[in-house]
Amino acid sequence: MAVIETLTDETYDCEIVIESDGWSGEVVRFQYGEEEPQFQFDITGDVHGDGEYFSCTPSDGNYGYIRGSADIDGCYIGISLEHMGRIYDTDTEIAFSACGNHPYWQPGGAFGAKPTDTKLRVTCSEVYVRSLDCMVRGEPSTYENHALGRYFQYSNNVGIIFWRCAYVGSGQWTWRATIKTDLPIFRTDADLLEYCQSGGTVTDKILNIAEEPDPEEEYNKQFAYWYVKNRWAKNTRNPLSNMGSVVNYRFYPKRKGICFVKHTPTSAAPYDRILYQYDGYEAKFAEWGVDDDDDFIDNPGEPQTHYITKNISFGSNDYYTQFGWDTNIPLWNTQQDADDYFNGLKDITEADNYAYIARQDNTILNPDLPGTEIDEATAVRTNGMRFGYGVRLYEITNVELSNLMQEMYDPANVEDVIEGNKLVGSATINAISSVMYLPFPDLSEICELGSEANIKIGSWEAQTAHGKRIISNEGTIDCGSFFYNRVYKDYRDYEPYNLLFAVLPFCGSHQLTISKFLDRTVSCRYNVDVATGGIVCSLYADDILVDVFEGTCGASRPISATDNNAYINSIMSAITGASTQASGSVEGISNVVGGVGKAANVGAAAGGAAAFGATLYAGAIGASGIYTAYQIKNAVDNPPQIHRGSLAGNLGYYLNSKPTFLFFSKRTIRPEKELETVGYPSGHGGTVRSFSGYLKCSVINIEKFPGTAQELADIHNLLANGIYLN
Amino acid sequence: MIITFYDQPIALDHMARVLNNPVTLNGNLREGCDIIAPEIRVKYSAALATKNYAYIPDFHRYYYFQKPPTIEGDILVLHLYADALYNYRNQIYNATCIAERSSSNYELMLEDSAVSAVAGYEIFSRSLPYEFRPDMGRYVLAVAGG
Repeated sequence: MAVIETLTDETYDCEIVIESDGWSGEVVRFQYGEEEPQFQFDITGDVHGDGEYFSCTPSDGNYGYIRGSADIDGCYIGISLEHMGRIYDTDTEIAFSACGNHPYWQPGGAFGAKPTDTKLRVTCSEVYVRSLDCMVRGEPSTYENHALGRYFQYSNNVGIIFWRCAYVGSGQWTWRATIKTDLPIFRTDADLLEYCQSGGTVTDKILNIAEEPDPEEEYNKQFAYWYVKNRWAKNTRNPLSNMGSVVNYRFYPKRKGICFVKHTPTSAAPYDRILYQYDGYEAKFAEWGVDDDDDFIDNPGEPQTHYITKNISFGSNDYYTQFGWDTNIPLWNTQQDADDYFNGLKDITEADNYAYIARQDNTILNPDLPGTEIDEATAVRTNGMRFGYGVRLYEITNVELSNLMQEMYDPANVEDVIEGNKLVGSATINAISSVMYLPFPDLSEICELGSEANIKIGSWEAQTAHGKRIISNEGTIDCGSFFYNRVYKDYRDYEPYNLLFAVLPFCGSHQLTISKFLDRTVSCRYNVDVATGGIVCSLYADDILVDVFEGTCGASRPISATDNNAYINSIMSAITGASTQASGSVEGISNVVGGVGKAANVGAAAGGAAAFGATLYAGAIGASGIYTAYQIKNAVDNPPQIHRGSLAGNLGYYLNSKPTFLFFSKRTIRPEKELETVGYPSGHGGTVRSFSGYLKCSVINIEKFPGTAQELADIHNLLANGIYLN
Repeated sequence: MIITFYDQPIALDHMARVLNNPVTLNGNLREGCDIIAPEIRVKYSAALATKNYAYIPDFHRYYYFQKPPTIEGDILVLHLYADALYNYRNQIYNATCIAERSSSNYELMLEDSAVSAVAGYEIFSRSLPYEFRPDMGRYVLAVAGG
């Protein structure tokens, strides 16, 4: 079996659909979709087995049916569970414990005989997963200790769905959910089978295989984490499909602190709905479970999680369910505002929670910042400089250069050469301004070339040496691009948790500012001055020019003793840190600084070159080729060795030949269940009521306090240390 | 004075309380009593020894047991402490605050001290497709003339 180890650990939106006709059957499925997540299932781990079908018969009290693939060793790819029951995933096997085991389900028990044909199907109608290590996250975790069972606890338990379903009779309703998994997910059963039959080698149908994410998709994933509370909203982006009884997606502000999804009953069958985070509304809510009298247990106490039993209504025959999920749905203070938005009369920026939405997207710019947002691509200029009479430039090969020199120094041509160069001085060679080697197999990449012609020096025209005339310097090298994704989608995407370096041929290695490039398409372009060999590298983010680095890529080729002396001097002075070079070098090798780069001995050109070699740590070896512990540590902890410019002479040719970006990423550890346990850093203000879950305050102001100073101090201390709101 | 004792299973750093199995005593205070941290002496009762929460209507306060009851002969000494979090829950809910950390209203772009970073960096690279070819270069010959 081919083990796929490149699967992403991403969250996929899906829907949990319940269909029920009373006791006769229920189906739960996870349906892939593009809805906002409202229920989160983490499906992790693996399902163990021998790859064969197996089922548990009702006689042993366990009901389960797994459909797997025998083609995959050691694990199931698709899984189908039928029959109602609790589901566990142990280390070695899946076990099913039917609700029928519970005394309530026994003949004569509270609920009569157990249902015989109810079903839980964990296979998805549109998404198939191979694992059932399901973890229900979200509000249902609060129900773990009820006498009827721990159906809502954090566990590998999906019984939550059809447990409620079993009660509610006919109908269908939907929760949207997310599946988070590092296991293969398929859109169809056929895709799954194809994967199985290929022995796990055909992976193109896997939805969550690692690939460069679509930027827009990534963008959308950042939504949907804001609470809908006490506001009107219209879910225009993602209608609650399959929620058959829902006729209105507004969040009804019945009372402060509660929001509901409005329902219209479709039959006489009761609907149980969950209320979360009820905080102060003096309604009568039943305690967990079903009251035999169908009355509500009066519980005007403190916020707790309750259920609305079947006959509760709020002033009409409509039913409501609280809708307390995080959302990026724009919220409005009035129904009129919501309608106006829906009808295109209001902009999303007027929504009550736009700041939240925008902050999630990081699109809000501080309005006090000077200047305006950069949103236009940087115009690419053209170069009008042209070469012609006076000084001509030719593109020639090594062979052509030799032919020219041979012809020029041929005694038979001396008189003609001298005669043809009277205007340029006493030495004919002075007519040759420069011979520059450039690292391009075809100079048309960087300049405009004319037709092949005999080379002319002064007025003398060579008969055997040819070259293409260079007409203008117009030409840009497009080196390609990539999209710079966020990794963590939080502060860790920036320095110092992530560092970004660009190793740019002929322009050195530079640390880049991540903010300039994150979430943008990074592209790299070069322009070359064919007359001097100067080169400039431009880095773009979404076609906006954000960084420019210069250097030289041309190497002067000496053609006389004078030239040769100058050439040698230029290289030596560059190596020893002297200033400017005839070749136009910006800085010398000695500017290889920091970390492992220092290991490269001055004067050891090869060592310096290795600092830019194919592998980062090659440079750490230095001239001696030996790592020291200190060098290794530095190589890891102080990653960048930065060369701040280009190299002298032709030494740059030994270094990397492709623009390369290096990503240094700190591996971080976020504690499991951190959000529930200690929250995330906030800085937000508001009433305590506007928060939920864990809350730790830096400041709290109680305006009217009837208690004692000691009690007030106690409250301050408690909130300063952190409490859990319900 | 009436005191009602409860089994209260919710941790005290949570706002909610669940009051189960009430046991009510009716009696008189015989000595001075601190309203915030009263020590109540009652006749020993095994049922009371396991309680952990109380309500004293005269004081308008709920109390948690600051420490386990102590027994002095046939007297059970209950060390109560006013549960400010529950007694003033409405005032707390309506109070304004600045959250340092929160499960609901948080800012992902703020540095999180609870997150650890291991030493060193993992290194990845990405090269663009274009390649310079110094092995296949060309000369540029610049000459005077026309």
